[in-house]
Amino acid sequence: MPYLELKNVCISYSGSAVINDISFSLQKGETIGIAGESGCGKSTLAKAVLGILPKNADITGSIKYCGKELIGMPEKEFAKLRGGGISMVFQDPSAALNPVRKIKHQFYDIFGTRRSARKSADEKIIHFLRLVHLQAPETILNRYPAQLSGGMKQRIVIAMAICKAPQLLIADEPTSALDAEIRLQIIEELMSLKKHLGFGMIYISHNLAELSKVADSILVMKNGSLIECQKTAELFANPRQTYTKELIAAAE
Amino acid sequence: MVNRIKPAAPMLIGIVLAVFLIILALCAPLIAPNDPLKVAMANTLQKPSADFPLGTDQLGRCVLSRLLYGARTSLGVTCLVLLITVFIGTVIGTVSGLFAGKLPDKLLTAFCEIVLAFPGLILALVISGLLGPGIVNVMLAIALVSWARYARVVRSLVISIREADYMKAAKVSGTDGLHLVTRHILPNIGGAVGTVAVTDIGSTILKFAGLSFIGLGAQAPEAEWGMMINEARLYMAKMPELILYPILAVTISVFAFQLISDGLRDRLDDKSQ
Repeated sequence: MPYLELKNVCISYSGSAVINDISFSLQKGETIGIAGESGCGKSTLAKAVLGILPKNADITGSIKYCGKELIGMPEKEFAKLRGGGISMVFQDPSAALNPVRKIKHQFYDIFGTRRSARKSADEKIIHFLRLVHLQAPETILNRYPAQLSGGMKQRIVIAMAICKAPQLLIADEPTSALDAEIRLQIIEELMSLKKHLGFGMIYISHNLAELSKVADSILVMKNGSLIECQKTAELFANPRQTYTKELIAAAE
Repeated sequence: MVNRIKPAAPMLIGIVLAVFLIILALCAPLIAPNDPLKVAMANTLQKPSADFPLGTDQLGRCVLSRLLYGARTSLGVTCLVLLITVFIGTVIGTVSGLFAGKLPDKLLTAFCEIVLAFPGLILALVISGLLGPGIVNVMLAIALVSWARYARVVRSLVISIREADYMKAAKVSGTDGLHLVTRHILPNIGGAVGTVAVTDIGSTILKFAGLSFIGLGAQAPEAEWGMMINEARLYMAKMPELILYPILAVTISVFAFQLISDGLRDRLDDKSQ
């Protein structure tokens, strides 16, 4: 049974279609890359899997996680899946961290830590900050997001996303807000975590070169539709669509 | 640099005046020369003297002491009213914002609009008239007519914060609903709600003094500025300064908090530009 299975998923915002009839599946430990230009519906698809689409979105079709249907799942049940089942790394780390709360408090919220259990929670947080190779994690605990660099913030966002040991991690353009050097480090970070923790991953990017480093298979999207789906090596060796060829050319 | 300092100057004056008033109110028992409630019919309507620096009123009570204790009443009641108002407005606004577009939101928004449709002071007058005179009833009356503005502000803030990436990130990382509200939404609306509350201090002092002036607020022998104005009315011809002191006290405190409020509004406007 696939870990995640999407069948004929269609999404529209206030009547206008943004995702048209998308189907694919992801096996345990597999990484699927989703490529396509900005606005083609990649992030909408990710939000649909996590059940965080805006209120004006209509969704049809089927999204199954470990055999459980996610579309129409009651919010209480869905909330239990988030974090430990499916988690997500957001595009912009500055926007993904609450600006008025210290880093440690944002972790406490995720763990639901009581005041009395903060000391042991701190050790747990430090463990995750070390996992993403942050230097001096003890000092980071008491900092606000504005006191950290972009790369540090993205590492923290990744640590938050994996701290409940998810089975599936969705990384929505996790490097697009970072410079080239940090970008490479973050990709390596994600791949080493994936190896270490064994989660499956959906990696969203407009950059095929980046996807070639992480993905086992790549889905190419255009205007809300899935136009091509192949194993990474095959896609680069033998792209079927002109649009895919253009994306490969742009990446080279 | 000059342009940045200039608009802050009135706000600074406001802050200095407000802090001065708060210190006077807090230290009233230490600095008041006499018992503000002590009636001495032998000393009625006396001119300023060493014993009574601002003279005495129609019952021989020390005017300065009553002014100082009046500051405690006015500022204390204003703080409590704002706390009640902000609490009611925040609870209703948060619920409304979380259920935006759904039935609870529609009902609460309609209720807000009904409350906002009435002129605040008139509605407060009706409510405190129905509840009966007294400080607690006036506090409730003012809070019951003022919460709707906060509910509106909070509702719109909650709707915008709910869609923020950090909310979604917290949600997908496994933060539960209660923590999302108490740890992520409320701390982020605190600043804006606090600013609105500061802008309301002046008008709340005025409302309380107004309702006390017409006999619905503080009751004799309590020292309160609105009531002092009302009592001094009858002696305006004989001793005009008796009415002037509490009027000045109300004016200065409203002026101080209004300067702070204008300064904060300017800062917010600058930020939004």
